[in-house]
Amino acid sequence: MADQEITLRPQKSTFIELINAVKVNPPAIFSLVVVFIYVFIGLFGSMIAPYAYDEMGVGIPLQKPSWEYLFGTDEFGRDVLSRVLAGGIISLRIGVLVVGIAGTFGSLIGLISGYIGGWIDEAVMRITDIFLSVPDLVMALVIATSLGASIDAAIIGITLVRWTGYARLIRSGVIAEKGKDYITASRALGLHPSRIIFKHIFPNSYTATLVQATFDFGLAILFASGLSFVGAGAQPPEPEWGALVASGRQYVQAAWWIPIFPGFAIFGAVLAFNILGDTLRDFLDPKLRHSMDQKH
Amino acid sequence: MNIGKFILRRLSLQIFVLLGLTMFTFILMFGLPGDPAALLFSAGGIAAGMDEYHAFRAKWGLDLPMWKQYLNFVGNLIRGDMGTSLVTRAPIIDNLKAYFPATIELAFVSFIFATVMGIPLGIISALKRNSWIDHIIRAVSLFGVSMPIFWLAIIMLIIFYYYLGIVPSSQRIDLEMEIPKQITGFYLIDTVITGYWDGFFNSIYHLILPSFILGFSVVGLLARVTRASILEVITQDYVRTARSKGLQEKTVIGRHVMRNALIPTVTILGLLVGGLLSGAVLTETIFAWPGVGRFAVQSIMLLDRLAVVDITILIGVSFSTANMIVDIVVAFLDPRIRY
Repeated sequence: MADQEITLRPQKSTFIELINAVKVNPPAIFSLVVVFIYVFIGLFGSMIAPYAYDEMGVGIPLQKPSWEYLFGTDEFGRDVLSRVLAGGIISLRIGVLVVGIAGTFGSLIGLISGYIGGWIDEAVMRITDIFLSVPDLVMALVIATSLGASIDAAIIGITLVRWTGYARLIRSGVIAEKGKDYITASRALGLHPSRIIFKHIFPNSYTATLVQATFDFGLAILFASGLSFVGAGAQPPEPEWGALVASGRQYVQAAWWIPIFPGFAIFGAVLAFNILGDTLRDFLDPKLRHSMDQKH
Repeated sequence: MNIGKFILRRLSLQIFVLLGLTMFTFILMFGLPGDPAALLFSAGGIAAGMDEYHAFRAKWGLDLPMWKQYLNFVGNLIRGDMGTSLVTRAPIIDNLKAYFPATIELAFVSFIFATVMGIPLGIISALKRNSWIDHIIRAVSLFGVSMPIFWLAIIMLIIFYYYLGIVPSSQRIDLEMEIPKQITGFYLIDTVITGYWDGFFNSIYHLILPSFILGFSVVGLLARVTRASILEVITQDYVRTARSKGLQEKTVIGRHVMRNALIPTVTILGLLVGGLLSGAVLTETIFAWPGVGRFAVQSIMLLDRLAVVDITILIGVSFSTANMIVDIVVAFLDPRIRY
């Protein structure tokens, strides 16, 4: 039944299909809007902020949220809204760098390791085992600390615990594809291995990587804020969201707004990336896309 | 491959991985620029001459080449000696003995909470697919995994501690109460053994909020995996067959669906332990919970490198053991899986 309907429909591009799928999915729309706002704040946050994030005494300290200071003021009379807006770029940079570096290198390592196989593959897998033998946040914490507790140290720490995910994902995809006839045919034709890897094998496993990258963007934001919260990431006065929550914690009884608003920014951003990841996964998994609607 | 062989192979792999872990963390903490002795002497403001400095380095083996230091470290570790902290001058194992049970107690109660909540929520969500209750459960699950745990803890503290005043804000037991005699280090067990019931109930009282928060951070994961694996199974042909031969829905779900959907859920439990141990670092920091996580953060602040290495290895051993148990249980449940 369903198959007939699909063949009757004119072929649409995946992109158009994705747009159509998002249009009828309110959480997906929400997540796209939030991601857009998040990127906008990241790029232009300090420009639209009413005050400089480190300007003290713009208002009376510990003032409640009001029309003048939407998120209130902190213990030094700094505007909390301006601080949250200024923190956007830090968070965005962390997400982009972690996902970019871990995704690129992890995928490359996975491709090579899966394609070549043998002892190289074995060695790579045992190295990923070592990274996976400690819970990821703890591992990132240790690495970030040893590199001197800064935002960049946190980025390196999170990247080092996340590349293994891509390596394993791509590797299993490569191993699944490698034995198939069309790859054997390409080999028989004498195609260069790099061409086989990038033209034939990679396109067949990148969708899962894309989903993983979307989830990891949120995870990177969450981890970085956690590291900063315990002092292994951003250091005051940097307005990183986790650091803002940490420094506002001691005033929580008198001024709940100091830690609550930056935390809400983290929550919103991570939630949006998680919903987006879910949407992409459901969409890109053809088994789910076409079968879920009619069965049970 | 029989199960005994499988366990043996899994165990030897484990030992190899943990050895790799000690090497990695050791190089990470000691191989980087910066002389712990110099740092200690300058930070501690110890008025010492070069002689004392060199004597100190010789005493703690800091003047040896890196690989010798590492071999010493591993050799001591095998004999059960985790070394002496250069910062506190106390054997690190004493600290870990005191802190580790606190973390395990917190993580265990959170684990129970997460399982008791997460699995039924996932089942309901899957069986009532696309109903309003499914949507609510999925939203809550998503919130749980997206929320910074330390932020949730602060919100809960504002509500339940500052405004309502119905839960304590920190520690494992009230400060004015007598600390239970250390037998196992688990307050819930020690107080029962010694018949110290006030202490028992007070410990539970202190566990409620942190374990709820820590558990909540992984409930979503568990509910999502349970839901997905049930939906995967429920559309299989053998389930349709079971239905069409007239079996009661209760039997179909209980016998055919649950048994098969259980495997991915059990597999995820290992990951869950990882999430709990990660979350414990943050939760313990907020609730001043005297556990390994807080000890790790303190050691990091004090630049106590050896303590950090030891804690990492302890957490690695706990996490790997949990994963190994899960692998073995899954191998028992699913005869198709043998590595």
